[in-house]
Amino acid sequence: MINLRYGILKWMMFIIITFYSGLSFAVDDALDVSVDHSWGLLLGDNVTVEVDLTSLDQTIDKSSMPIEGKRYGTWLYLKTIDLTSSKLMFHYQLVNVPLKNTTIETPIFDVKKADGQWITLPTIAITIGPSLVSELGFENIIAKPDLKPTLISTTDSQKHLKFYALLAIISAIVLGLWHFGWKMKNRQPFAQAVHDLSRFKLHAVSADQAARILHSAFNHTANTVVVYGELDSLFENHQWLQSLQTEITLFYEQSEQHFFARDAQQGPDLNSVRKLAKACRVKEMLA
Amino acid sequence: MNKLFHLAHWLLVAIFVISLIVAAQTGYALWQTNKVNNFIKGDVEFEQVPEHLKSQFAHAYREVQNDQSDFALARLTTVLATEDPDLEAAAYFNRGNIHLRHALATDETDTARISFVGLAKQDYRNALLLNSSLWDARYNLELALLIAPEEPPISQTFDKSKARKGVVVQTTGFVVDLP
Repeated sequence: MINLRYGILKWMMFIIITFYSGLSFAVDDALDVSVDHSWGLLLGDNVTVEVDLTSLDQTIDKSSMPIEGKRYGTWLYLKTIDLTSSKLMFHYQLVNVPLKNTTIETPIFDVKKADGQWITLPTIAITIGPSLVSELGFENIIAKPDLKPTLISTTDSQKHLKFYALLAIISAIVLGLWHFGWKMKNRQPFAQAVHDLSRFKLHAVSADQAARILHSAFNHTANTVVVYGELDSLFENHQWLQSLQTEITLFYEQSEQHFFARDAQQGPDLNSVRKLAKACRVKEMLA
Repeated sequence: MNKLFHLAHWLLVAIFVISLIVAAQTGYALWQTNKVNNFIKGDVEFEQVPEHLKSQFAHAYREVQNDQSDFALARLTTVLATEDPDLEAAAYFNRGNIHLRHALATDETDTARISFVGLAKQDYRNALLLNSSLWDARYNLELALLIAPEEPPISQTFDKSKARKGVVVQTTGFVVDLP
């Protein structure tokens, strides 16, 4: 009688345990798990275990995730975890290897769903092995030497230097062409005058020569010989010179007194001629 | 039109001036870098080691060659502050090598040997975390693991029947029953 009762109780316990264990692992079986490399893994290799969450009706609570940057078990180091709505990716690195090829299971983790229910993520088997022949003992293996220092890369700096130097040269050329004209024949009158006067800086140039150069510029601008009495028509036809009317009039006045008067007066001085030529060139450029 | 010309002219002047300044700055930086590179190559003697962490690494390398491993270890530890992952991994690797050499130079019976191997393993692992393609670090880590293997703990099933029996510790004068 006691034996029968004991037998019934034993069977009931077996049925209950089987039922509950079946319930608690039901969710785990529904999740698909895969690994990018399942065999031939060596020390230092990276392994990604991907758990498919599409069959889950709820999201995973991030706070229940295992800690990243930690070693789990003997073989694997969990570097990072990527969680999306459809999959959970565990990025491991193999930090230890056995002496012979061995099949291991990835670590078991329990995570919480949004409704607070805990589930156990399924594991997957991977085969890891050594790359060194250990049978002869470590005494016969020579360690790899220190890494040699490497030079600081200057490729980017050289590229930058070339680019900015080229930009400076090009902009200088464009500015130069703007100021002095593309060709002599294309040069504007005051550009030519400034150029001639600056060229003469190197050599001795008299005030008379300088004044003639500037006169020549005015004549070319007006397309006729400009004389002191006809300055009004110059300003009328070339209004951009109007702002320099006082200086130009003074120049012509001094020039006339110097070149054409009976008692030759002191002509315009070299510096004022150069200054006026430059001022006229500025106006000419923007005209 | 006049204003537009004026603007274009000054824009061109600005481009010229800025590009000239940047080119000068870059040229100066390049000159400085070349000086540090000459130090790294060992072509030039410097009164002080340049601050650049690559030159510190190079100096540590030379210190190891001159049997000044302790100085090199300290210097490589400062190099770890770098933001260049390749240099950091290299510093970890060379530090691991210093520890491994210490371990191999230590007597087999000396417990310090295992400690040195442990430090070497940690440095190689850090190097591999930064750069998993550093094959020399993989090689030396495996060698360190051969010297001091890390086997999984043997899982012993908990024998409840033994636990139920308890442990009887008998002392002089009285008996204590431990669970």
